[in-house]
Formats: sequence, structure tokens, C-alpha cells
Amino acid sequence: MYVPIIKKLIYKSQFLVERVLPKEGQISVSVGDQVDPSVKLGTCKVVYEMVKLGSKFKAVKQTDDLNHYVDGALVGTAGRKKFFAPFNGHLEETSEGFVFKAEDKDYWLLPGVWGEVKDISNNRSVLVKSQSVDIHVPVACGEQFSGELVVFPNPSEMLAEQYFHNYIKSAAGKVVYVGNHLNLELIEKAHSLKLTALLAGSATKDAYDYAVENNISLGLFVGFGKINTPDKIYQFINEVTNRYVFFLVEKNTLQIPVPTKNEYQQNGKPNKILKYIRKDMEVQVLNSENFGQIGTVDRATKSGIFVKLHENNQEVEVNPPNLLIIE
Amino acid sequence: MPILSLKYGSSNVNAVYLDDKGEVSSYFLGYGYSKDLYAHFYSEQDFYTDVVDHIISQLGVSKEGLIVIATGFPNVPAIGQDYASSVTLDELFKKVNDFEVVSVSNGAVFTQNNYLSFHDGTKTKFGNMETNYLLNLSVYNNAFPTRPSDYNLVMSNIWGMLNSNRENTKELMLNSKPIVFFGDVFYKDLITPEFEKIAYLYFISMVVNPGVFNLKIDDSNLLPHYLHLKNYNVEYSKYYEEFEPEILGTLVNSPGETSCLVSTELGTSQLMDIKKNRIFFIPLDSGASARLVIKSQELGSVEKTVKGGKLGVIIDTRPKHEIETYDYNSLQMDINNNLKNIHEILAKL
Repeated sequence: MYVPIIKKLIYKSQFLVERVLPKEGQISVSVGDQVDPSVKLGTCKVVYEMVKLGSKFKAVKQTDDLNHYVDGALVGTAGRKKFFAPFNGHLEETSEGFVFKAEDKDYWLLPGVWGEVKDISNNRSVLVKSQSVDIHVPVACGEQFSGELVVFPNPSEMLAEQYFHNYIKSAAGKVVYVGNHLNLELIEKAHSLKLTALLAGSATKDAYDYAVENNISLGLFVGFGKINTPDKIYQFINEVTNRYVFFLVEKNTLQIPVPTKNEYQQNGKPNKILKYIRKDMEVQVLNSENFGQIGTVDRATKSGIFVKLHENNQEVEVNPPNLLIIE
Repeated sequence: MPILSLKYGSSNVNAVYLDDKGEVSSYFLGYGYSKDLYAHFYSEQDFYTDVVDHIISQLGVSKEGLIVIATGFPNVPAIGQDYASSVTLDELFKKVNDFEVVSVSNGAVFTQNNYLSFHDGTKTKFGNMETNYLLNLSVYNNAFPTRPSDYNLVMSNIWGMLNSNRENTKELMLNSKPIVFFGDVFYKDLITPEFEKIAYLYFISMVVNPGVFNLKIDDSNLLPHYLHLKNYNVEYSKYYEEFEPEILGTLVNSPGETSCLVSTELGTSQLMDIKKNRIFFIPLDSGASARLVIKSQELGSVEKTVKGGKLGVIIDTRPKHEIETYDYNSLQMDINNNLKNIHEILAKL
């Protein structure tokens, strides 16, 4: 019996990443340089914080013309309310009124990947050719997202909420794997914490609909209902050394950059999509009773294929088209 | 010249091969391309190129001099070589004159007259488990139910889609020609006898217009192949002309109380008064015919000689065309109440 292969993890030897400074600055690498995730590609000065004070704001006169204030200094008044500098910074008058801006700070551009610099553009952006392990995300919605991957260790649904509180100090730029299952309560909690990219093994329909309605990028490693994340995937995302990942919704892929030499290098595109089913192959079972579960073929006879499910070691009989070979 | 006819469904591929001597062999693969499952590592063209190579190899056919024709829905995928003929299934059906074809798949229903997809209108609301299962089927398009309850769910989802587009449903099956049901949810290698009974009840329920209909089924899915072969070259038309879909029976849609006088070829007559909301089976095998005199408020008085079939003559007095009264719950009750009856009638004929 011939069955298609599904690549849950696939090594891609070439992908291009463009890393961009928020504004023009200085690029410190050259075309052809080899980089790793922590190499500084370039730098520029940026303002990280600002406070809008409005047009009625009255500034305290400064002794110099620089309009510079140290943290805690009185900057001025808006009506009866005094405004003290919340950080070292300066006051600027714009068309919309006064703005108190923090001192410029260095912004360092990091590649987040291992690879080779292929191109540099206008002291602003760097194109890096890298390699990745792409993880299959059969259900995905929302917009493409890249950021730091945070992996919860498959907590129960009750604990997942606690994890949000304890480990998510800032939601900005995070892709959070919440565990095997995502329900409505949990996604509402994630939304209240301003998280915009989530991953899970499976989700309820209402949680998925909530993600669509609230423009949350959501990826499910299996599907709908209560189906656990395949071990292979969980182990990989739990152990990746580089946490900067790309969630490519349109391509049903979570792209994780890896170093050139890695154990997944052999796991590329198969020669043929169909393979003859044999003992010891890892398969995904799609019959009604065990939908989505992963198991190992114990026996493959003319009468049927017998699979031992990883989750509970139960043996089930399953026939094409209700199974897929997992690689 | 040997010829291979391919039909690409949304969740499978099947093939019919005619060798030099005109001998027919066929092959079925219960997998089709899904962007969600394969796009991250395999293109649609690569997928179907492999599948067609596999089919050719499994049929023990030489590629040299082989003519390949293909039909499919919604498209005919590329396989890295030209087809001698390629036409979409809906276009192909427009060329059918002698009967009305109804293709039923988990996602779309179409005939010569109309096309309905799951994107049209509202669908039936199910419980959480059922909803999850249906959503998973839309991702894992190859998966096929293994429990009668799940098969019923898939069929009721299709019925729900038809029901929410009632005006279009009427247009779907308007003709007085025999109606032939076939499709991805009704392939002989996938369905069990239990599923078959459920499917029959749904087919009966999908024809909603009052009138008398001759229902047929093609669980081999040979019809599109023979139709395409005929259209490709008239030399192959004998396969289409000789092909006879299995006769399911004669359906009398007569909403409301109905009286029916059945006179058989043997000279026996029986008068029956059938109450509203019933599906009544009269055993009559496919070789036999009977004279029916039907009287009801909806149909008036109709006299017709009809043929039997697997289910004989079916007098259906449900108000299936009234969306306000005939809903999902009514249908489920009718399915459950009639499974035993259909089992008995199949055992008799």
C-alpha cells in the first residue's frame, strides 16, 4: 500500500532574510561575510521613548539652548500640572505641540540567523542567505510574523495562564507556543497581554475564530480539537538554540534558522511523494477514533495496517486514505 | 493506441486504462493535493507528476506512446507533460444530455445546471466534536470517515449546504431526466454497506422538488472517464453507451398526504394511503416495472409507469422543499427512522 509522505520538519538550505535598521545608519559588515545570530550588522541612533505634551504646554526656561533635561527635572506645566522628565531627554516643538523625547540610543542590527551577507542597501538593510528547519503548521491564520520564540513546556490549560503571567514580561516581538491545546479562555488571556503570535498543537474552533477576528497570527501543529503536538516537533522547538523565528502563515510554515552544520541537514525534500508502507514507519492516523495521533507501524499486511499510537501505546488498525507517513 | 484517463477529485485520483485491445483496468488512489499539507515542501505539479507515474507503474503500463487525458475539479493539475485532452469536470458534464449528473463531494455539489460550494450560505451548526472533525477533514482532505456517525455527519454537512441554498438546490435537480449520483463521498472502495444506506437516504433527501424522479448511482466513478473518452474520440463512445449506472429506484416526491395505487406486471394492485412526513418503500426490482396512480394535493393526479431498482419505488411525503418546516433535526429523525427500512428493502431486492 502506497501512502504520501508529510514532512513535519524539513531542512531548507537556502532562504534569504532582509534585516533593516529603523533609519539610515552605519553597516559594519561586507558582502560575503559569514555571520551568526549575535554578530552586529550595523547600528543607528533611535529614540526609544517619547511623551506627547500638547500645544498648551509651557516649558521652564533652560540656561542653554539644547532643551536638555535630566531624569526628574521639571520640564514645564500643562495647566496646573507639572511635568517632570521621566528620563533623560529633550523637548521638541512640533506641528502637533510639544513632545518630550528620550536621548538617542544605539540600535544594533543583529541577523538572528547563521549565514552569508549577500547584499547591503543604502546603509539601511542587509540581505543574509541562511538555512533553516521548516516546521509544518497545517492550520495557520493571521499575518506573517517574526520574533522571539517562547516555548511553554506543554502545561495543562490551567497552568498555561500562570505561565503567561510569570514568563511573558513583554509581549512585543514574541511568538509563544502555549502547549498542546489552546482554548478560548487562553487566547483571550493572550490577547489581553497584547500577544499577537501564538502556536499550539490544536485549538477549539472558537479559539481559532477569536484569532481570526482579532488578527492574531495562530499556528496549529495538528488541527482542531484536543490533539497533542507531535513529540518530534515539540522536542525541536524546545531545544532550538536560536530563538528568532519566522512564522510564514501563507506557507503553513514555522521557519527556524539553524547553523550550517546540523543534524537535520539530511532531512530534505523526498524523491517521491508516495512510499510503500512498512513496519517501523512513523505515521499520522486520521481515522475518526484517533484523528491526528502519531504512531509507529507495527505490522503492514494485505488486510490492514496496525499502528501503535505513541500517546497510549494502543494498537489500532488503519487503512489508506486514513494515514500519512511522517518524516 | 493505449489510453489513460485520469480524474482528479478534491481528495483522490482515479484512473481508467484502455489497452491496445480495448481491455479496461482501473486504479484508485485516495489522496489528493492539499496546500495545507504539502505546500511547505512539495508543489502541486510535483505531487501529481509522482502520482501519475505511480498509477502508470501500478497498472503495468508503458509510458511510450501512451495517450493521457484528464478531467478534474476545480482544475486539472499540471503533471509536467501535455495531456492529449484536458477539461474540467463541470465543463464535461455540460455535454451530458441523457441524464442529470449530481457530483457530491465534501466541499461542493454540482450538476450541469448549477454549482454549490461550502463557501455559499450558512451551514448547519454542529456540536464541538463534530465541528472539530469537519474542520479537520477540510485540512486533511484525504481522511475518510470510519464510523457511520461521522459519515452521517459529512453527508448532513453537505445536505446543510444544499439546504441553506434552497433556491439553488431546486435548480440543481430540475430535470425530468434520470438523476445519477456519484462523487468523492460515494466511492465503492471507501464506503461500507452501512455508509451506503446512509448515502441513499441523503440522495433521496437531496431531491426536493415535487415530482417523479428516476434515481441512479455510480459508485465506481467510471462515468466521467467514459464521458471524457467519448468526447476525446468518438471511437471510444461505445464505453459510454454501454455504461449503465446502477438504478437506485423511482422517487415520488409528493409532500403531504398521498394515496398511491400500484399495479404490477403480474396483475396485482395495491392501494396505499401514506401520511405526511413519511418515506415509504415499495419493493420492485430493477428488471420490473409498475403502473402508479398518485393522488395528492401537491401533485394532483399523476399516472406513470415506473421502473424498480435497488430501493424499489420510494414514496416520499416529507415537505423537503419547505425550509421553514423541514430542518436539520427533521432530517436526522428521518435518517434514523428509515435506516432499518432501507436495510430491509435492500435485503428483499
